[in-house]
Amino acid sequence: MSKTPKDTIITLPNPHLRQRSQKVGVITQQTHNYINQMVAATLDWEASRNHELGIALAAIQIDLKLRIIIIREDFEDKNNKNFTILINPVITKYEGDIVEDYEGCLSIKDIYGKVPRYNKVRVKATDINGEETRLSADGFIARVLQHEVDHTNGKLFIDHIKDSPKAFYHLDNDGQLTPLNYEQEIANSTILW
Amino acid sequence: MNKKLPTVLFFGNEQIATGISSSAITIKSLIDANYSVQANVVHNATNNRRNKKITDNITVAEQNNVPVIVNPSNQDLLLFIQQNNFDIGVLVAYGKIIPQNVIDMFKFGIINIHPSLLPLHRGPTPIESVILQNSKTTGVSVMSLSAKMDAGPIIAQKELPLNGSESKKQIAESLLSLGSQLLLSAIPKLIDGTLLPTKQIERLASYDNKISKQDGIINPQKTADGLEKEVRAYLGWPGSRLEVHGTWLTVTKASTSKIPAIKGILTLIDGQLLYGCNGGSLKIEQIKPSGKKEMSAAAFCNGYAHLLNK
Repeated sequence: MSKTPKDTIITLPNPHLRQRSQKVGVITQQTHNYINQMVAATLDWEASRNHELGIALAAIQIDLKLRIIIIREDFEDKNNKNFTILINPVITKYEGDIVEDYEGCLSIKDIYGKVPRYNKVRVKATDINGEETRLSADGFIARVLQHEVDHTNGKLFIDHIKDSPKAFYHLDNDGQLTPLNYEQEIANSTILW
Repeated sequence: MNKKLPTVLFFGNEQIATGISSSAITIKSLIDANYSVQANVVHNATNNRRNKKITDNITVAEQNNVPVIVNPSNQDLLLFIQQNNFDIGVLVAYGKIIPQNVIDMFKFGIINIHPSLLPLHRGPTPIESVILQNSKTTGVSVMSLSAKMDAGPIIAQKELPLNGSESKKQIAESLLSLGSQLLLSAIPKLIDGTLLPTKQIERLASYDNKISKQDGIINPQKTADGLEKEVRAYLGWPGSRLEVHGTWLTVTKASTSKIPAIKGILTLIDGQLLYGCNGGSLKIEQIKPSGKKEMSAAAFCNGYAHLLNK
């Protein structure tokens, strides 16, 4: 089988996922090309999955050590294929309550975690035109921003819950989540840690 | 980052009295919006007519590889839900009461579309009632199902203004498409906890009675205005019917007329097909003789002249 865009996505145990990415200095045609590759990889991955939406990606996930993240404009509509692009994103403030919700990662196949995150964040970033942009987000999008900014710092969602035996779930073929056996499948996994 | 789509169990049966594929519209829009619809529970796989046609929601389910479960016992249903752990249930025109212990099995309950502004017009005939009562406005409610009929907490509502000329079918279609949109926008908010259902105000509740086949028989003691509303409200089922010389005729479109005609008699006056009633007459525009196709008043006068009083 020939290589398709989704095959450029790296998964655990690839050690690059735990490394910090570098700042983007100038936005060039090359940067645009990278972003297009990120979008293509996310959509191609989504097309191969029955019960999931690809809602965001960090550049490191296609093995580019750059602080670029892309976030889907609409988390509910598969047909909306537009992404917001944030370059060198930094979380400037965490606010609100800490809430738990399910999240998954294109680089960690079939595992979902119930991850505690702040309900509200403020983010500073550069947009695709090189202008500084600030945004504040709450609810699920705040969660997505924290997850993706973590990627640029070499952190994965499982690192937030590694000591929580009840936080790990498996996505079954029929689209349902079943709890994983922490001792057997998570704690001593050679792939995850 | 990726996100799991919520898993949905759909309950729906076709052909509530409107003759509209109400649940097919909703299951289709759920599938199109990428919800993971796991099964379609129905209690009747075919319509109740003689042709025993497979209902539209089953066709939609089969085209999208959604398994169909026909008329399960409560016990089987409970077991099935236990094994599968669905996030949410969606029920449209199912026509059967779901016991509370089944509702409780869903993390986010079962949600339901009801074509009225609840707590007004609970019961089986909300659309017919707003036509008969000449309401200026109605609407659609998305609610969380409770064991008591149409009394669950409201998730979302939208109004629909009426101009007084809509038929049951037109209102039903408008309300269902509004309702499907409301339902789709409500599910994610319900799941992430940003939308909390509000209780219905019980003392404002109103209930509508069932309509019987007998109600469709046109009574010339009623006013033309009232009969014209019945024509719109009873369209499809039971149909506004009258009998002339042993032939049953269903009036499918009519207006009111000041021209006096003999009460209870079908007459052609000045090229208008009139049925005499209290204080005037019902001007018939479209009519369907029993066993024949619907036709215009003009075509009827040509073909059925022997039924007319000249």
